[in-house]
Amino acid sequence: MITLRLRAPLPCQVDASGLQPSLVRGMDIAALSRVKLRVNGKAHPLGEFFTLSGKPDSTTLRITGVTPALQGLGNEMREGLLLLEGNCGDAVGAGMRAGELRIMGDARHRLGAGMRGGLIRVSGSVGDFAGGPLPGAVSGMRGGTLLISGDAGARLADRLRRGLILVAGSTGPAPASQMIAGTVIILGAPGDSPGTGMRRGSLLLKAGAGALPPTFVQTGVHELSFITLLMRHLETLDPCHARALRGFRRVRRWVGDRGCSGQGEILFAGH
Amino acid sequence: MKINGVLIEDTFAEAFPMKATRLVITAANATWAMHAAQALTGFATSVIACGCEAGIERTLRPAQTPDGRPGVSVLLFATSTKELTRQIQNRVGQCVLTAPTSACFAGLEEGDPLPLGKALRFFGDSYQISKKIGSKRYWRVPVMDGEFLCEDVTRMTKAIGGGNFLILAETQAAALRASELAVAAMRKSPEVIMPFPGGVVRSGSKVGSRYKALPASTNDRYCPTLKQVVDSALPESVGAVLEIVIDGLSVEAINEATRVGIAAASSMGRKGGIVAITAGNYGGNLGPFHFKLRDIMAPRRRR
Repeated sequence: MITLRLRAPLPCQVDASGLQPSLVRGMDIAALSRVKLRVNGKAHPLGEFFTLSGKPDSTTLRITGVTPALQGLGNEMREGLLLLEGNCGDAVGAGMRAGELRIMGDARHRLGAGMRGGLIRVSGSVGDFAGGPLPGAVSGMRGGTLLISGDAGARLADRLRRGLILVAGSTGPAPASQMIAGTVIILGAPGDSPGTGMRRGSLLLKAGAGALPPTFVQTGVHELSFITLLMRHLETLDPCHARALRGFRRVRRWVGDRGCSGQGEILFAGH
Repeated sequence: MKINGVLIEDTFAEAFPMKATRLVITAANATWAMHAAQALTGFATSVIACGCEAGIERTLRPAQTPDGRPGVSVLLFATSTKELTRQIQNRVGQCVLTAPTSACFAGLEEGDPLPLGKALRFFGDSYQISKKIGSKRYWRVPVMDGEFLCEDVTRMTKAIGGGNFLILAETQAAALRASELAVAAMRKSPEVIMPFPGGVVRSGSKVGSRYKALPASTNDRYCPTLKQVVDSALPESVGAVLEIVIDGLSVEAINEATRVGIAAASSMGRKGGIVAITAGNYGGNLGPFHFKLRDIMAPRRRR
């Protein structure tokens, strides 16, 4: 594993999208320290901003002292493990294809926007539009898994097309807004108007969550086998939070958003 | 070679390449899973007229199934990919989808994909729900007792059909008892099925017939009532013959099932009325897989 430690606060926003796990494959510390990083429009060697240590024995890259000034971390990532220690900026993991990205800290808006595969774990909280679309895109996340141990901001999983998002904490307004498909689990309190404009997909909420939009209709209490599959899958990724899904064995099912002929579902646990 | 005085003839079973898949059927309890599995594997004794050969491989505990409910593992064998695809869709659609509380999953992890829920989902009339969990896609089809959960595709593998052995006994009762012992032992072997009723077939066939319309007809050389009429293969002491046909996912699986089956049948011994064990073949020119009885029954060397 190679570790990059930020020497001092960065003078401006820096495009760090090149700091990928694939970068460390086959490169020694000396070669890595010469890799160019564009700062203020000029190319600077990586070693000018980071202290490098470790052995390049795998595609694992650890960056400590991460600040929001490091932009584009994990963008279009395709392999390996990227460990980020500190609070990240916007659009971390955007367009990610594969591999694992772990954030030990918080992340700002558009975490995992438009991601297609891979796994993102966040130990802290995230901002708005996590798992949503990149600006101008028709759909949000199209694959992969987002596990957030803290809270999420507004419009979590906006236009989600495919994939799984779990938030252990609460969320801001309108989670799963305009959701197209996929699965979202919120173990804390969801914000107002969950599922607004939802077309398809599943939103799993704990019992006692806030009021739904009036354009959702209730179909009663059901036992749905797919939740067991979901629980078993989550046990391989996050055993701690997977246990919370046991409460979803019997769910109260609401379908909507009928305001847009949607067939999405909101499943309330504990029935 | 003799086992307990039972002659193991120096011959072989001739078997053929097939295409196969394994399905896992689950339900709210073991009884309903078995109902669905029995319906799915019904009328699937021989590809001659059934389209496929199918059977129950074993029952599964909740911990062994994808959805944590009691289940049954079934194997389906056909002679072509196209026919196997058709049989899966027809049988799962008519026998599993229809069974209360049931769900259906692929039982093999590798192999070419064949549509399972991918085809059956249309029963949902646009109300079906796709759910991708991990790397697998499932379909949730609304039905009158809730939802039918079905994996998108199952996996096809190369397999072998037509492994067999024949039990030659003094009486019908002895042949039947030996067959029951053999099948009971063989059902503990994984990756094989014995597709005939109770795992046993009494109407062994030969290729061709005196009637032009029939592709196969009774194996007259093994019919005890024709002993003096045709060129019989039966010694004077044999009064009944029963055959056990084995389809398996590998040569090793059929070898093992054959071994435990013959051992169980022979356990009754010559004194118990079992005269000999033999096998059916076509001279070795038709099927590429030859299961030589004496090689299979040879004492195992310690490694």
